Amino acid sequence: MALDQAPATVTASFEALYRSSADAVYAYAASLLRDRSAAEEVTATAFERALRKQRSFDPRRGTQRAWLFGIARNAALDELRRRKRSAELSVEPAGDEPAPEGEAEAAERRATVRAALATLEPRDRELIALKFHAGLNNAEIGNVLGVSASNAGTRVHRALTRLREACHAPS
Amino acid sequence: MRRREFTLDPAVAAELEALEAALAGDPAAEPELAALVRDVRAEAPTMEPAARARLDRRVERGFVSPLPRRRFALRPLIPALGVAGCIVAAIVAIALSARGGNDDFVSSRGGGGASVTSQARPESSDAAKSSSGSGSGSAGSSSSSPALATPAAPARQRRVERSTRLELTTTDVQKASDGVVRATQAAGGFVQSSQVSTGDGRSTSSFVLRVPTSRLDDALARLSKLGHVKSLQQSADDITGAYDSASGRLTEARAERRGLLRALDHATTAEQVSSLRARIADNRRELQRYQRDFNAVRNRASLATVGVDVTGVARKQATAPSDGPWTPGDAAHDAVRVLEVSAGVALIALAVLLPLGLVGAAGGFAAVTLRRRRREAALSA
Repeated sequence: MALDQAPATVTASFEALYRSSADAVYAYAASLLRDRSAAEEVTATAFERALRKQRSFDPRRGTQRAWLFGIARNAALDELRRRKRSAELSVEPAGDEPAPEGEAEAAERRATVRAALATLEPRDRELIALKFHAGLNNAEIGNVLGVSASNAGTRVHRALTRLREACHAPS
Repeated sequence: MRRREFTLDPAVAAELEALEAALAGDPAAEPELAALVRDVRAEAPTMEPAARARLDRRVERGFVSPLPRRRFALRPLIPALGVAGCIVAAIVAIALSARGGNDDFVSSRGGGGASVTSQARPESSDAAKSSSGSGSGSAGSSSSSPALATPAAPARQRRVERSTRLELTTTDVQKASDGVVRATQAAGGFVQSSQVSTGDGRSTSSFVLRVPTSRLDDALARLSKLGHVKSLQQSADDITGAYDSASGRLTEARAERRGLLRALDHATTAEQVSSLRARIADNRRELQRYQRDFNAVRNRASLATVGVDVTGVARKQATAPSDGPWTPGDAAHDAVRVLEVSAGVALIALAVLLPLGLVGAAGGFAAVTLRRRRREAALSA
Protein backbone atom coordinates (compact mmCIF):
# COMPACT_ATOMS: atom_id res chain seq x y z
CA MET A 1 0.00 0.00 0.00
CA ALA A 2 1.36 3.39 -0.86
CA LEU A 3 2.30 5.61 1.99
CA ASP A 4 0.72 8.94 2.59
CA GLN A 5 2.02 11.47 0.09
CA ALA A 6 1.82 14.37 2.55
CA PRO A 7 5.14 15.40 4.08
CA ALA A 8 5.68 14.31 7.65
CA THR A 9 7.03 16.55 10.36
CA VAL A 10 10.72 16.02 10.92
CA THR A 11 11.28 16.31 14.63
CA ALA A 12 14.57 17.13 16.30
CA SER A 13 14.89 13.62 17.66
CA PHE A 14 14.35 12.15 14.23
CA GLU A 15 16.86 14.56 12.77
CA ALA A 16 19.38 13.43 15.36
CA LEU A 17 18.59 9.80 14.67
CA TYR A 18 19.10 10.35 10.98
CA ARG A 19 22.40 12.14 11.43
CA SER A 20 23.78 9.48 13.74
CA SER A 21 22.48 6.41 11.92
CA ALA A 22 22.25 7.12 8.20
CA ASP A 23 25.71 5.81 7.38
CA ALA A 24 25.27 2.75 9.56
CA VAL A 25 21.90 1.95 8.03
CA TYR A 26 23.37 2.27 4.56
CA ALA A 27 26.33 0.06 5.48
CA TYR A 28 23.99 -2.52 6.96
CA ALA A 29 21.72 -2.46 3.91
CA ALA A 30 24.63 -2.64 1.50
CA SER A 31 26.14 -5.57 3.43
CA LEU A 32 22.84 -7.38 3.29
CA LEU A 33 21.91 -6.58 -0.31
CA ARG A 34 25.41 -6.25 -1.78
CA ASP A 35 24.03 -3.64 -4.14
CA ARG A 36 24.84 0.03 -3.83
CA SER A 37 21.77 1.52 -5.52
CA ALA A 38 19.43 -0.93 -3.78
CA ALA A 39 21.05 -0.05 -0.46
CA GLU A 40 20.46 3.64 -1.10
CA GLU A 41 16.82 2.97 -1.88
CA VAL A 42 16.38 0.77 1.16
CA THR A 43 18.04 3.37 3.37
CA ALA A 44 15.70 6.06 2.11
CA THR A 45 12.71 3.73 2.53
CA ALA A 46 13.76 2.87 6.07
CA PHE A 47 14.01 6.50 7.13
CA GLU A 48 10.78 7.40 5.39
CA ARG A 49 8.95 4.57 7.17
CA ALA A 50 10.57 5.56 10.44
CA LEU A 51 9.46 9.13 9.94
CA ARG A 52 5.88 8.08 9.22
CA LYS A 53 5.81 5.65 12.13
CA GLN A 54 7.79 7.67 14.65
CA ARG A 55 4.75 7.90 16.94
CA SER A 56 4.60 4.12 17.13
CA PHE A 57 8.07 3.91 18.69
CA ASP A 58 7.85 2.56 22.24
CA PRO A 59 11.03 3.09 24.33
CA ARG A 60 10.00 0.22 26.61
CA ARG A 61 10.52 -2.21 23.76
CA GLY A 62 14.06 -1.18 22.92
CA THR A 63 16.26 1.66 21.79
CA GLN A 64 15.45 3.95 18.92
CA ARG A 65 18.40 2.62 16.94
CA ALA A 66 17.21 -0.95 17.32
CA TRP A 67 13.75 0.13 16.20
CA LEU A 68 15.25 1.90 13.17
CA PHE A 69 17.37 -1.09 12.19
CA GLY A 70 14.33 -3.34 12.53
CA ILE A 71 12.58 -1.16 9.97
CA ALA A 72 15.65 -1.16 7.76
CA ARG A 73 15.88 -4.93 8.00
CA ASN A 74 12.28 -5.39 6.91
CA ALA A 75 12.80 -2.99 4.01
CA ALA A 76 15.96 -4.81 2.96
CA LEU A 77 14.32 -8.22 3.15
CA ASP A 78 11.34 -6.94 1.20
CA GLU A 79 13.77 -5.67 -1.41
CA LEU A 80 15.51 -9.04 -1.48
CA ARG A 81 12.22 -10.80 -1.98
CA ARG A 82 11.19 -8.39 -4.67
CA ARG A 83 14.36 -8.68 -6.62
CA LYS A 84 14.60 -12.43 -6.10
CA ARG A 85 18.20 -12.39 -6.75
CA SER A 86 21.34 -11.97 -4.71
CA ALA A 87 23.15 -8.96 -5.97
CA GLU A 88 26.87 -8.69 -6.01
CA LEU A 89 28.51 -6.13 -3.80
CA SER A 90 29.11 -3.10 -5.97
CA VAL A 91 31.07 -1.06 -3.48
CA GLU A 92 34.35 -0.05 -4.86
CA PRO A 93 37.04 -2.43 -3.65
CA ALA A 94 39.51 -0.51 -1.54
CA GLY A 95 42.35 -2.69 -2.72
CA ASP A 96 42.06 -1.31 -6.22
CA GLU A 97 43.76 1.88 -5.17
CA PRO A 98 47.51 1.76 -4.75
CA ALA A 99 48.41 1.63 -1.09
CA PRO A 100 50.79 4.22 0.27
CA GLU A 101 54.21 3.18 1.40
CA GLY A 102 54.01 1.32 4.72
CA GLU A 103 50.36 0.53 4.42
CA ALA A 104 50.74 -2.43 2.12
CA GLU A 105 50.34 -4.82 4.98
CA ALA A 106 47.16 -3.12 6.11
CA ALA A 107 45.81 -3.12 2.59
CA GLU A 108 46.52 -6.79 2.25
CA ARG A 109 44.80 -7.46 5.53
CA ARG A 110 41.73 -5.52 4.45
CA ALA A 111 41.61 -7.42 1.19
CA THR A 112 41.65 -10.62 3.16
CA VAL A 113 38.79 -9.37 5.35
CA ARG A 114 36.84 -8.25 2.27
CA ALA A 115 37.21 -11.67 0.72
CA ALA A 116 36.26 -13.33 3.97
CA LEU A 117 33.11 -11.23 4.27
CA ALA A 118 32.17 -12.18 0.75
CA THR A 119 32.26 -15.85 1.66
CA LEU A 120 29.95 -15.46 4.64
CA GLU A 121 26.31 -16.44 4.57
CA PRO A 122 23.89 -13.51 4.40
CA ARG A 123 22.79 -14.12 7.99
CA ASP A 124 26.36 -13.97 9.25
CA ARG A 125 27.10 -10.93 7.09
CA GLU A 126 24.03 -9.25 8.56
CA LEU A 127 25.24 -9.93 12.10
CA ILE A 128 28.69 -8.59 11.33
CA ALA A 129 27.14 -5.45 9.88
CA LEU A 130 24.89 -4.93 12.87
CA LYS A 131 27.75 -5.47 15.27
CA PHE A 132 30.68 -3.81 13.53
CA HIS A 133 29.06 -1.13 11.38
CA ALA A 134 25.95 -0.25 13.36
CA GLY A 135 27.57 -0.82 16.74
CA LEU A 136 24.48 -2.40 18.28
CA ASN A 137 24.78 -4.36 21.48
CA ASN A 138 23.41 -7.87 21.76
CA ALA A 139 20.09 -6.75 23.21
CA GLU A 140 19.57 -4.34 20.32
CA ILE A 141 20.52 -6.99 17.79
CA GLY A 142 18.02 -9.29 19.50
CA ASN A 143 15.34 -6.66 19.04
CA VAL A 144 16.20 -6.28 15.37
CA LEU A 145 16.18 -10.01 14.69
CA GLY A 146 13.29 -10.82 17.01
CA VAL A 147 15.33 -13.07 19.28
CA SER A 148 16.65 -12.84 22.82
CA ALA A 149 19.87 -11.02 23.73
CA SER A 150 21.58 -14.27 24.65
CA ASN A 151 20.50 -15.82 21.38
CA ALA A 152 21.76 -12.75 19.52
CA GLY A 153 25.07 -13.02 21.39
CA THR A 154 25.42 -16.64 20.40
CA ARG A 155 24.71 -15.81 16.76
CA VAL A 156 27.21 -12.95 16.81
CA HIS A 157 29.82 -15.27 18.28
CA ARG A 158 29.22 -17.84 15.55
CA ALA A 159 29.43 -15.19 12.84
CA LEU A 160 32.63 -13.83 14.33
CA THR A 161 34.11 -17.30 14.48
CA ARG A 162 33.24 -17.93 10.83
CA LEU A 163 34.70 -14.58 9.85
CA ARG A 164 37.92 -15.39 11.66
CA GLU A 165 38.05 -18.79 10.04
CA ALA A 166 37.47 -17.26 6.64
CA CYS A 167 40.24 -14.74 7.25
CA HIS A 168 42.68 -17.50 8.18
CA ALA A 169 41.60 -19.83 5.41
CA PRO A 170 44.22 -20.32 2.69
CA SER A 171 43.28 -18.28 -0.34
CA MET B 1 6.65 -10.71 23.02
CA ARG B 2 9.02 -11.69 25.81
CA ARG B 3 11.89 -13.80 24.54
CA ARG B 4 13.49 -16.51 26.58
CA GLU B 5 16.98 -15.72 27.77
CA PHE B 6 19.58 -18.32 28.66
CA THR B 7 23.04 -18.32 30.16
CA LEU B 8 25.82 -18.06 27.63
CA ASP B 9 28.68 -20.49 27.61
CA PRO B 10 31.55 -18.94 29.60
CA ALA B 11 33.95 -19.22 26.68
CA VAL B 12 31.44 -17.58 24.35
CA ALA B 13 30.72 -14.88 26.89
CA ALA B 14 34.46 -14.21 27.27
CA GLU B 15 34.97 -13.86 23.52
CA LEU B 16 31.99 -11.57 23.26
CA GLU B 17 33.43 -9.43 26.02
CA ALA B 18 36.70 -9.29 24.16
CA LEU B 19 34.82 -8.27 21.02
CA GLU B 20 33.00 -5.54 22.88
CA ALA B 21 36.33 -4.26 24.19
CA ALA B 22 37.79 -4.21 20.70
CA LEU B 23 34.71 -2.46 19.33
CA ALA B 24 34.95 0.12 22.12
CA GLY B 25 38.61 0.80 21.24
CA ASP B 26 39.88 -0.46 24.55
CA PRO B 27 43.73 -0.43 24.43
CA ALA B 28 43.73 -3.63 26.45
CA ALA B 29 41.67 -5.40 23.82
CA GLU B 30 43.03 -8.43 22.07
CA PRO B 31 45.30 -7.09 19.25
CA GLU B 32 44.09 -9.51 16.60
CA LEU B 33 40.48 -8.79 17.39
CA ALA B 34 41.13 -5.06 17.42
CA ALA B 35 42.75 -5.32 14.01
CA LEU B 36 39.80 -7.32 12.72
CA VAL B 37 37.41 -4.71 13.98
CA ARG B 38 39.43 -1.99 12.38
CA ASP B 39 39.63 -3.79 9.04
CA VAL B 40 35.95 -4.72 8.96
CA ARG B 41 34.96 -1.17 9.77
CA ALA B 42 37.28 0.06 7.05
CA GLU B 43 35.41 -2.19 4.66
CA ALA B 44 32.05 -0.71 5.65
CA PRO B 45 30.17 0.40 2.52
CA THR B 46 29.80 4.14 2.43
CA MET B 47 27.14 6.13 0.68
CA GLU B 48 28.29 8.26 -2.17
CA PRO B 49 28.19 11.98 -1.41
CA ALA B 50 25.66 12.66 -4.13
CA ALA B 51 23.33 9.97 -2.82
CA ARG B 52 23.78 11.22 0.72
CA ALA B 53 22.98 14.76 -0.38
CA ARG B 54 19.80 13.56 -2.10
CA LEU B 55 18.75 11.70 1.00
CA ASP B 56 19.51 14.73 3.17
CA ARG B 57 17.22 16.87 1.05
CA ARG B 58 14.44 14.36 1.14
CA VAL B 59 14.66 14.08 4.89
CA GLU B 60 14.61 17.86 5.25
CA ARG B 61 11.44 18.00 3.14
CA GLY B 62 9.85 15.20 5.13
CA PHE B 63 9.94 12.85 2.15
CA VAL B 64 7.44 14.96 0.27
CA SER B 65 8.68 13.36 -2.92
CA PRO B 66 8.11 9.72 -2.34
CA LEU B 67 10.14 6.89 -3.64
CA PRO B 68 8.71 4.89 -6.50
CA ARG B 69 5.81 3.09 -4.89
CA ARG B 70 4.18 -0.13 -5.53
CA ARG B 71 0.68 0.23 -6.80
CA PHE B 72 -2.15 0.09 -4.32
CA ALA B 73 -2.38 -3.56 -3.51
CA LEU B 74 -5.85 -4.91 -2.84
CA ARG B 75 -4.74 -8.44 -2.18
CA PRO B 76 -3.48 -7.91 1.38
CA LEU B 77 -6.79 -6.29 2.20
CA ILE B 78 -8.89 -9.26 1.09
CA PRO B 79 -8.99 -10.94 4.54
CA ALA B 80 -9.86 -7.65 6.18
CA LEU B 81 -12.53 -6.98 3.57
CA GLY B 82 -13.91 -10.46 4.11
CA VAL B 83 -14.15 -9.96 7.84
CA ALA B 84 -15.70 -6.55 7.33
CA GLY B 85 -18.24 -8.05 4.95
CA CYS B 86 -19.16 -10.73 7.49
CA ILE B 87 -19.58 -8.08 10.16
CA VAL B 88 -21.80 -5.97 7.93
CA ALA B 89 -23.87 -9.01 7.00
CA ALA B 90 -24.25 -9.92 10.66
CA ILE B 91 -25.33 -6.38 11.54
CA VAL B 92 -27.86 -6.37 8.71
CA ALA B 93 -29.19 -9.76 9.81
CA ILE B 94 -29.50 -8.57 13.38
CA ALA B 95 -31.21 -5.38 12.27
CA LEU B 96 -33.65 -7.29 10.10
CA SER B 97 -34.44 -9.78 12.84
CA ALA B 98 -34.94 -6.94 15.32
CA ARG B 99 -37.19 -5.19 12.82
CA GLY B 100 -39.21 -8.37 12.33
CA GLY B 101 -39.68 -8.62 16.08
CA ASN B 102 -40.89 -5.04 16.20
CA ASP B 103 -43.37 -5.78 13.45
CA ASP B 104 -44.79 -8.62 15.50
CA PHE B 105 -44.96 -6.35 18.49
CA VAL B 106 -46.76 -3.64 16.53
CA SER B 107 -49.14 -6.16 15.03
CA SER B 108 -49.97 -7.47 18.44
CA ARG B 109 -50.51 -4.01 19.84
CA GLY B 110 -52.56 -2.94 16.90
CA GLY B 111 -54.77 -5.97 17.13
CA GLY B 112 -57.40 -4.03 19.01
CA GLY B 113 -58.13 -2.08 15.91
CA ALA B 114 -57.55 -4.77 13.37
CA SER B 115 -60.48 -6.54 11.84
CA VAL B 116 -58.73 -9.62 10.48
CA THR B 117 -56.09 -11.82 12.03
CA SER B 118 -54.00 -14.59 10.54
CA GLN B 119 -56.75 -17.08 11.24
CA ALA B 120 -59.20 -15.27 9.06
CA ARG B 121 -60.17 -16.86 5.78
CA PRO B 122 -59.96 -14.15 3.17
CA GLU B 123 -61.30 -16.31 0.35
CA SER B 124 -64.50 -16.75 2.26
CA SER B 125 -64.53 -13.08 3.04
CA ASP B 126 -64.06 -12.18 -0.60
CA ALA B 127 -66.80 -14.52 -1.67
CA ALA B 128 -69.11 -13.12 0.93
CA LYS B 129 -68.23 -9.54 0.05
CA SER B 130 -68.99 -10.16 -3.56
CA SER B 131 -72.41 -11.40 -2.69
CA SER B 132 -73.19 -9.25 0.30
CA GLY B 133 -75.32 -6.94 -1.75
CA SER B 134 -77.40 -9.72 -3.21
CA GLY B 135 -78.04 -11.77 -0.16
CA SER B 136 -81.08 -9.94 1.04
CA GLY B 137 -83.38 -12.04 -1.01
CA SER B 138 -85.13 -9.06 -2.55
CA ALA B 139 -86.65 -9.86 -5.86
CA GLY B 140 -85.57 -6.59 -7.35
CA SER B 141 -81.87 -7.33 -7.16
CA SER B 142 -80.42 -8.80 -10.31
CA SER B 143 -76.69 -8.69 -9.63
CA SER B 144 -74.88 -12.00 -9.50
CA SER B 145 -71.82 -13.08 -7.59
CA PRO B 146 -68.83 -13.47 -9.88
CA ALA B 147 -67.05 -15.63 -7.31
CA LEU B 148 -69.81 -18.14 -6.99
CA ALA B 149 -71.63 -17.90 -10.30
CA THR B 150 -71.15 -20.82 -12.63
CA PRO B 151 -70.56 -20.39 -16.35
CA ALA B 152 -73.59 -22.58 -17.10
CA ALA B 153 -75.95 -20.13 -15.44
CA PRO B 154 -74.43 -16.68 -15.70
CA ALA B 155 -77.69 -14.82 -15.14
CA ARG B 156 -78.74 -16.88 -12.17
CA GLN B 157 -78.76 -14.93 -8.94
CA ARG B 158 -76.66 -16.59 -6.26
CA ARG B 159 -77.82 -16.85 -2.69
CA VAL B 160 -75.00 -16.97 -0.12
CA GLU B 161 -75.17 -17.70 3.56
CA ARG B 162 -72.42 -15.94 5.49
CA SER B 163 -71.27 -16.80 8.97
CA THR B 164 -68.48 -15.27 11.03
CA ARG B 165 -66.72 -16.24 14.24
CA LEU B 166 -64.94 -13.47 16.14
CA GLU B 167 -62.81 -13.91 19.28
CA LEU B 168 -61.95 -10.81 21.27
CA THR B 169 -59.80 -10.29 24.35
CA THR B 170 -60.17 -7.28 26.57
CA THR B 171 -59.61 -6.13 30.10
CA ASP B 172 -63.25 -5.06 30.53
CA VAL B 173 -65.62 -7.81 29.42
CA GLN B 174 -68.76 -6.00 30.57
CA LYS B 175 -67.90 -2.90 28.59
CA ALA B 176 -67.10 -4.93 25.53
CA SER B 177 -70.34 -6.90 25.87
CA ASP B 178 -72.33 -3.70 25.95
CA GLY B 179 -70.43 -2.61 22.89
CA VAL B 180 -71.36 -5.82 21.08
CA VAL B 181 -75.05 -5.12 21.60
CA ARG B 182 -74.70 -1.50 20.49
CA ALA B 183 -72.72 -2.45 17.40
CA THR B 184 -75.30 -5.06 16.44
CA GLN B 185 -78.17 -2.64 16.77
CA ALA B 186 -76.30 0.02 14.86
CA ALA B 187 -75.90 -2.42 11.99
CA GLY B 188 -79.61 -3.17 11.95
CA GLY B 189 -79.21 -6.64 13.42
CA PHE B 190 -80.28 -8.34 16.61
CA VAL B 191 -78.85 -10.52 19.31
CA GLN B 192 -80.11 -14.03 18.79
CA SER B 193 -78.56 -15.34 21.99
CA SER B 194 -76.05 -14.23 24.57
CA GLN B 195 -74.26 -15.54 27.60
CA VAL B 196 -72.17 -13.43 29.98
CA SER B 197 -70.09 -14.90 32.78
CA THR B 198 -68.35 -12.57 35.25
CA GLY B 199 -66.65 -13.22 38.53
CA ASP B 200 -63.36 -13.13 40.39
CA GLY B 201 -61.82 -15.42 37.87
CA ARG B 202 -61.82 -15.10 34.15
CA SER B 203 -64.80 -13.22 32.69
CA THR B 204 -66.24 -14.31 29.37
CA SER B 205 -69.21 -13.58 27.22
CA SER B 206 -70.51 -15.10 24.03
CA PHE B 207 -73.08 -13.87 21.55
CA VAL B 208 -74.85 -15.14 18.48
CA LEU B 209 -75.81 -12.16 16.36
CA ARG B 210 -77.89 -11.88 13.22
CA VAL B 211 -76.83 -8.99 11.08
CA PRO B 212 -78.09 -8.00 7.64
CA THR B 213 -75.66 -9.43 5.19
CA SER B 214 -75.38 -6.11 3.42
CA ARG B 215 -74.04 -4.52 6.61
CA LEU B 216 -71.91 -7.37 7.87
CA ASP B 217 -68.62 -5.67 7.10
CA ASP B 218 -69.68 -2.54 8.92
CA ALA B 219 -70.71 -4.60 11.92
CA LEU B 220 -67.43 -6.49 11.96
CA ALA B 221 -65.50 -3.24 11.85
CA ARG B 222 -67.42 -1.96 14.87
CA LEU B 223 -67.02 -5.23 16.78
CA SER B 224 -63.29 -5.43 16.08
CA LYS B 225 -62.76 -2.13 17.87
CA LEU B 226 -64.08 -3.48 21.13
CA GLY B 227 -60.90 -5.38 22.01
CA HIS B 228 -57.93 -7.26 20.70
CA VAL B 229 -58.98 -9.50 17.83
CA LYS B 230 -57.62 -12.90 18.71
CA SER B 231 -59.13 -14.62 15.71
CA LEU B 232 -61.62 -13.98 12.94
CA GLN B 233 -63.08 -16.76 10.87
CA GLN B 234 -65.48 -16.20 8.03
CA SER B 235 -67.28 -18.64 5.78
CA ALA B 236 -69.69 -18.36 2.86
CA ASP B 237 -72.00 -21.18 1.70
CA ASP B 238 -73.89 -21.13 -1.56
CA ILE B 239 -77.56 -21.89 -0.80
CA THR B 240 -78.92 -20.94 -4.20
CA GLY B 241 -80.24 -24.46 -4.79
CA ALA B 242 -82.13 -24.58 -1.51
CA TYR B 243 -83.50 -21.10 -2.12
CA ASP B 244 -84.73 -21.92 -5.62
CA SER B 245 -86.24 -25.19 -4.44
CA ALA B 246 -88.20 -23.53 -1.64
CA SER B 247 -89.26 -20.74 -3.94
CA GLY B 248 -90.44 -23.22 -6.60
CA ARG B 249 -92.46 -25.25 -4.14
CA LEU B 250 -94.11 -22.07 -2.86
CA THR B 251 -94.92 -20.89 -6.37
CA GLU B 252 -96.40 -24.24 -7.31
CA ALA B 253 -98.51 -24.29 -4.16
CA ARG B 254 -99.79 -20.80 -4.90
CA ALA B 255 -100.63 -21.80 -8.49
CA GLU B 256 -102.42 -24.85 -7.22
CA ARG B 257 -104.41 -22.69 -4.80
CA ARG B 258 -105.43 -20.39 -7.62
CA GLY B 259 -106.55 -23.39 -9.67
CA LEU B 260 -108.52 -24.85 -6.77
CA LEU B 261 -110.23 -21.52 -6.17
CA ARG B 262 -111.19 -21.30 -9.83
CA ALA B 263 -112.50 -24.85 -9.72
CA LEU B 264 -114.51 -23.99 -6.62
CA ASP B 265 -116.13 -21.11 -8.48
CA HIS B 266 -117.22 -23.52 -11.17
CA ALA B 267 -118.37 -26.32 -8.85
CA THR B 268 -122.02 -27.22 -9.35
CA THR B 269 -122.63 -30.02 -6.88
CA ALA B 270 -122.29 -30.19 -3.12
CA GLU B 271 -119.91 -33.07 -3.39
CA GLN B 272 -117.62 -31.12 -5.71
CA VAL B 273 -117.70 -28.14 -3.38
CA SER B 274 -116.91 -30.30 -0.36
CA SER B 275 -114.03 -32.07 -2.12
CA LEU B 276 -112.52 -28.82 -3.37
CA ARG B 277 -112.70 -27.18 0.06
CA ALA B 278 -110.87 -30.15 1.56
CA ARG B 279 -108.14 -29.86 -1.06
CA ILE B 280 -107.95 -26.11 -0.54
CA ALA B 281 -107.49 -26.69 3.18
CA ASP B 282 -104.68 -29.13 2.48
CA ASN B 283 -103.19 -26.68 0.05
CA ARG B 284 -103.35 -23.91 2.66
CA ARG B 285 -101.34 -26.03 5.10
CA GLU B 286 -98.81 -26.86 2.41
CA LEU B 287 -98.62 -23.24 1.43
CA GLN B 288 -97.96 -22.22 5.04
CA ARG B 289 -95.26 -24.85 5.38
CA TYR B 290 -93.61 -23.87 2.10
CA GLN B 291 -93.79 -20.21 3.08
CA ARG B 292 -92.00 -20.98 6.36
CA ASP B 293 -89.35 -22.96 4.54
CA PHE B 294 -88.86 -20.20 2.03
CA ASN B 295 -88.65 -17.55 4.74
CA ALA B 296 -86.07 -19.60 6.56
CA VAL B 297 -83.91 -19.96 3.48
CA ARG B 298 -84.31 -16.30 2.65
CA ASN B 299 -83.26 -15.30 6.15
CA ARG B 300 -80.18 -17.46 5.85
CA ALA B 301 -79.20 -15.43 2.84
CA SER B 302 -80.25 -12.03 4.11
CA LEU B 303 -79.04 -12.32 7.69
CA ALA B 304 -75.47 -13.29 8.44
CA THR B 305 -74.72 -15.19 11.63
CA VAL B 306 -71.97 -13.68 13.75
CA GLY B 307 -70.62 -15.54 16.76
CA VAL B 308 -68.69 -13.32 19.15
CA ASP B 309 -66.64 -14.61 22.10
CA VAL B 310 -65.23 -12.02 24.48
CA THR B 311 -62.55 -13.16 26.94
CA GLY B 312 -61.24 -11.08 29.79
CA VAL B 313 -57.48 -10.81 30.33
CA ALA B 314 -55.30 -9.16 32.94
CA ARG B 315 -54.35 -5.56 32.24
CA LYS B 316 -50.70 -6.24 31.56
CA GLN B 317 -51.66 -8.76 28.89
CA ALA B 318 -54.05 -6.43 27.16
CA THR B 319 -52.54 -4.98 24.05
CA ALA B 320 -55.22 -2.59 22.99
CA PRO B 321 -53.70 0.88 22.95
CA SER B 322 -56.92 2.51 24.03
CA ASP B 323 -57.15 0.71 27.35
CA GLY B 324 -55.99 3.73 29.35
CA PRO B 325 -53.53 6.57 29.61
CA TRP B 326 -49.78 5.95 29.45
CA THR B 327 -48.65 5.89 33.07
CA PRO B 328 -45.18 6.05 34.65
CA GLY B 329 -45.59 2.36 35.35
CA ASP B 330 -46.08 1.74 31.66
CA ALA B 331 -43.01 3.86 30.98
CA ALA B 332 -40.94 1.83 33.41
CA HIS B 333 -42.21 -1.38 31.86
CA ASP B 334 -41.37 -0.12 28.39
CA ALA B 335 -37.94 1.01 29.56
CA VAL B 336 -37.20 -2.44 30.97
CA ARG B 337 -38.43 -3.97 27.75
CA VAL B 338 -36.16 -1.70 25.71
CA LEU B 339 -33.22 -2.68 27.90
CA GLU B 340 -34.06 -6.35 27.49
CA VAL B 341 -34.24 -6.04 23.72
CA SER B 342 -31.03 -4.02 23.63
CA ALA B 343 -29.25 -6.58 25.76
CA GLY B 344 -30.51 -9.33 23.51
CA VAL B 345 -29.32 -7.56 20.40
CA ALA B 346 -25.96 -6.89 22.03
CA LEU B 347 -25.67 -10.54 23.02
CA ILE B 348 -26.47 -11.70 19.51
CA ALA B 349 -24.02 -9.21 18.08
CA LEU B 350 -21.37 -10.44 20.50
CA ALA B 351 -22.09 -14.02 19.56
CA VAL B 352 -21.53 -13.12 15.92
CA LEU B 353 -18.64 -10.72 16.33
CA LEU B 354 -16.63 -12.73 18.84
CA PRO B 355 -15.94 -15.67 16.52
CA LEU B 356 -15.33 -13.26 13.68
CA GLY B 357 -12.89 -11.34 15.84
CA LEU B 358 -11.09 -14.51 16.82
CA VAL B 359 -10.90 -15.61 13.21
CA GLY B 360 -9.67 -12.17 12.23
CA ALA B 361 -7.06 -12.17 14.98
CA ALA B 362 -5.90 -15.64 14.01
CA GLY B 363 -5.76 -14.56 10.39
CA GLY B 364 -3.80 -11.47 11.26
CA PHE B 365 -1.35 -13.45 13.38
CA ALA B 366 -0.96 -16.00 10.59
CA ALA B 367 -0.39 -13.21 8.05
CA VAL B 368 2.27 -11.60 10.22
CA THR B 369 3.97 -14.93 10.83
CA LEU B 370 3.84 -15.82 7.15
CA ARG B 371 5.29 -12.47 6.14
CA ARG B 372 8.09 -12.84 8.68
CA ARG B 373 8.92 -16.32 7.43
CA ARG B 374 8.96 -15.14 3.84
CA ARG B 375 11.34 -12.36 4.77
CA GLU B 376 13.61 -14.79 6.56
CA ALA B 377 13.41 -17.11 3.59
CA ALA B 378 14.59 -14.27 1.37
CA LEU B 379 17.62 -13.92 3.63
CA SER B 380 18.36 -17.62 3.41
CA ALA B 381 18.22 -17.69 -0.38
